[in-house]
Amino acid sequence: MDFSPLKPTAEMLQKQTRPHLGFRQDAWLRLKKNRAALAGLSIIVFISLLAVFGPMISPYSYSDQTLANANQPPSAAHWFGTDNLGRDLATRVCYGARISLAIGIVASLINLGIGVLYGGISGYFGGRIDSVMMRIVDILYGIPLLLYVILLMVVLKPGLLNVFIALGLVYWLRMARIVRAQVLGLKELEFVLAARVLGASPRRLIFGHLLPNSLGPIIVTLTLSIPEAIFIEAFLSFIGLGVSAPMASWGVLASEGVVTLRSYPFQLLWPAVAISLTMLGFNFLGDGLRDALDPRMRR
Amino acid sequence: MFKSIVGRILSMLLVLWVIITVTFVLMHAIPGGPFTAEKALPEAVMKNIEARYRLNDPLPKQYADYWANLLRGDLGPSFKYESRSVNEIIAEGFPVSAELGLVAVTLSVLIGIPAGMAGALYQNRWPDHLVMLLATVGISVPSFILATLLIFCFALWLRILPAAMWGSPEYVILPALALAGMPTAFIARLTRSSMLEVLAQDYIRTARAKGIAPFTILWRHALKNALLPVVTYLGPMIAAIFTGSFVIESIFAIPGLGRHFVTSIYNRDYTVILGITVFYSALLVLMNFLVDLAYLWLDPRIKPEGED
Amino acid sequence: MQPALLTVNNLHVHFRTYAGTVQALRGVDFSLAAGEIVGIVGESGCGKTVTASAIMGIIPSPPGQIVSGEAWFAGRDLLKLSEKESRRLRGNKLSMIFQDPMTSLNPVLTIGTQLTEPFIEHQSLSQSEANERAAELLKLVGIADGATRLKQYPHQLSGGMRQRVMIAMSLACNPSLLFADEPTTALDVTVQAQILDLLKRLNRELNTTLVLITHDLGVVASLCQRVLVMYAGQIVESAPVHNLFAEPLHPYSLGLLQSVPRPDFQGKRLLAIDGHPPDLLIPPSGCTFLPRCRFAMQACLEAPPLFDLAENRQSRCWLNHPDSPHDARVALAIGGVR
Repeated sequence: MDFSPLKPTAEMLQKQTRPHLGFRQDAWLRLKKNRAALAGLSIIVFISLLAVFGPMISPYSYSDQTLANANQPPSAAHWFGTDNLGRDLATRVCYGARISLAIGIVASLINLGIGVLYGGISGYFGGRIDSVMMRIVDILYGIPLLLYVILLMVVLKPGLLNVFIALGLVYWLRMARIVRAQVLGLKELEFVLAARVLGASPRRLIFGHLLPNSLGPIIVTLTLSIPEAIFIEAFLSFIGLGVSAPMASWGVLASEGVVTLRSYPFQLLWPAVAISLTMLGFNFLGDGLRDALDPRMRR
Repeated sequence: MFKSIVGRILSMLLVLWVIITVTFVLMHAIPGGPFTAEKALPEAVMKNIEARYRLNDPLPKQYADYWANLLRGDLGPSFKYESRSVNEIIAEGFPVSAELGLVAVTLSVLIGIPAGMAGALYQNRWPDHLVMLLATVGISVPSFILATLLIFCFALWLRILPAAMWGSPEYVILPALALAGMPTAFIARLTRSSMLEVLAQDYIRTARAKGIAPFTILWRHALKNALLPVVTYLGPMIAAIFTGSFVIESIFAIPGLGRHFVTSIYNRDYTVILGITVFYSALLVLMNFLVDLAYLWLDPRIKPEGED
Repeated sequence: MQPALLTVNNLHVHFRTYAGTVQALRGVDFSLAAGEIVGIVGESGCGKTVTASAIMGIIPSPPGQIVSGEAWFAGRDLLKLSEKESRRLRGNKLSMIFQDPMTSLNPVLTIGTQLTEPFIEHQSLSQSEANERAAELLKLVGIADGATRLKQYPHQLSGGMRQRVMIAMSLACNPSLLFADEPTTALDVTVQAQILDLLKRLNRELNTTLVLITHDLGVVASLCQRVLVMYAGQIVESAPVHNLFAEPLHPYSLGLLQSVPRPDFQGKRLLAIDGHPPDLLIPPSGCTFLPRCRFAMQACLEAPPLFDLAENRQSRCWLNHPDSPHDARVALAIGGVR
């Protein structure tokens, strides 16, 4: 036994603690371990590539009608077959991906914008402003929103832009609540107090300090609101209130496919698979992100 | 207790006021007014509508009249079918929709809650993975796709269930399943996550430390706490099922309120669209109120002191 | 010394997390005599609660796993019992109360429901008999209007009242061993004293062996007869209370004592222990306290065994090795005054 003194070295201290992971690295590590989330991400990337390049490399256009080729089953010339007007379904599904993804993303971004503004203001100022603003949200929550999207579409007339408007106007409530809760929680943290003591303006506080720190739940909500928007657009198109012909979202293709379900089931199959896969992808990714970003789940 | 119920009734009335006002505004936002149709209307109907809604009156007066009519329970005449009133259409279609909706709600609760509990109890083992996979697929497949899939399988291929129409009980099965799919998946996911949260609570550890049997822990200590969030979801879920039935009723040619609604959208039959919207909104707001009451009754923490 | 009520040998518990396996307990040995009050002290995360939970059989598994060890109680090894057998002992002969009485009682069940459960579960009493016994229990822990309290929900009671209910619940079946995990940490100071008095009185009246898990040395001094000091999943020192306070034999115990204000140390400044406890994902090979130790020696690169010293005194530090040039008492005493 050697009982001579030993000076604890920096190296020994190092060995005792594992390398500290930043929040983002840690979240990424968790996400990478989540197979469902990775599968979801792959699906989304794949569908996005189809949406961007599919219509470009296809020899057909989404609106070219060749009545002689109507209702063809899948073949070498038309991989997914053709519809009742002889349009190539593969091209139309790819084109539909553009419309549906665009609706999902734009509608979610509009929600994000309104939600962040509304929730941020409500949470930051607190007190009476907060209780009035949240009371309004509570009241709107009690309303069956889909009915009002339908009503808005009836008033606005079908069309891509109007779908953006109707979805954006109605579905920001959840985002506003999430943002507010985050801001309320973070507002009391010490670094915010520090920034306030140093005389930072409210605008700087909200955009410089509060929002970057509450990104996790916002990203999760955003990811999960994309499939919801895609679903609602499909629903609207299905009852004739979505985008207008000859534009083709997946909802339009599906509602056309239902008409010919008995004779040509493949015409419904492709848009149905596309919608379901995309929603599955976003839901898997959203779940994975929530598990990865939720601080309560850390460790 | 009494005070919080009164509070909730007041807030329900406020919601109803917002709904009816928004509906009124939307009706008047339609370019040229709600009753200027693209197609010519029968003279009698036009006169009837103009008389009923006094379209030439100033807006505040129209708003007041609209309220007066509503309070008398009069939703006006159909704009398309001259001989029928919106009230008649609702009286005819609603029982059918209600039956379908009720079956779907029951299915969702009866399947969703046990599935979610199984997932939580076997966390990260195969039953959990199975439940989560099915539930995630469930919330990813829109009801109208599930409906056509069911029709294709059971009606066209296996030929064991009718593909459409309404009548004896077997006509309910497919549309109810289609309608219940997404809410079931939601409830299963919600139950699972809320159960997991509850099972991690200190009071569950206390119960374990007391040597209580696992089943009793689950049944007495965990279930009630875990179901509270599920109860709050019931309101929106009922709303989702009823609005979801618009499409399902159209696909299955079920003569319910939803199909009338979709038909009225195709026909631009504004009075019917508005009437059904107001009716459904009011119904769902009432459901939410009842769910709130159930919550109040279930959770002793939100009962005010001294009420016993 | 009377025969031990509980003897724990070489207890190892691991937790599997997504980041790897945390070795929460790395060989814990101790024994308890009937009727004594023993304190387990140490920083949070050192394994105090895990030790109690493992003996109780309530380690959540997964992720927790008892890797090896024995815990002999009434002629049986608690760690080898089936879940059913273990359940029969829990809340019966063995019981446990927890830190936070706010969250440890079920918010949607009445006090009565929760308090009568042990009677119904372990003694097969009827609900009305159980109710009577529950009211008696409440009286025992100093709650007078038992009948009313039984009908109330936890949120209608104060924190101290709830902890009394927890204690009553744990005493229901007259346990021979009671673990109290930080029973006063979440309570107001005045209430803390009442709860500690109650525990002391119950120990005296019912002869229940009490294991008090705490990080508060003041509580230990006022209540316990013996102390186990835990660090990084091991017991590093075990001593009668007055010996530990007078003459700690492990540098960590010394550090703990010096970080607490004491009237007899007046004029000396408080010394915090520098650094952090090791990460038990990758436990160091030598003495776990080495990086924070003021007395580090070359020998410490090898893990020290638990040295048996005087009666009831053990220390896991090379200073106590017979060949050590520095006598542990002298070294630590010098360290203590510097």
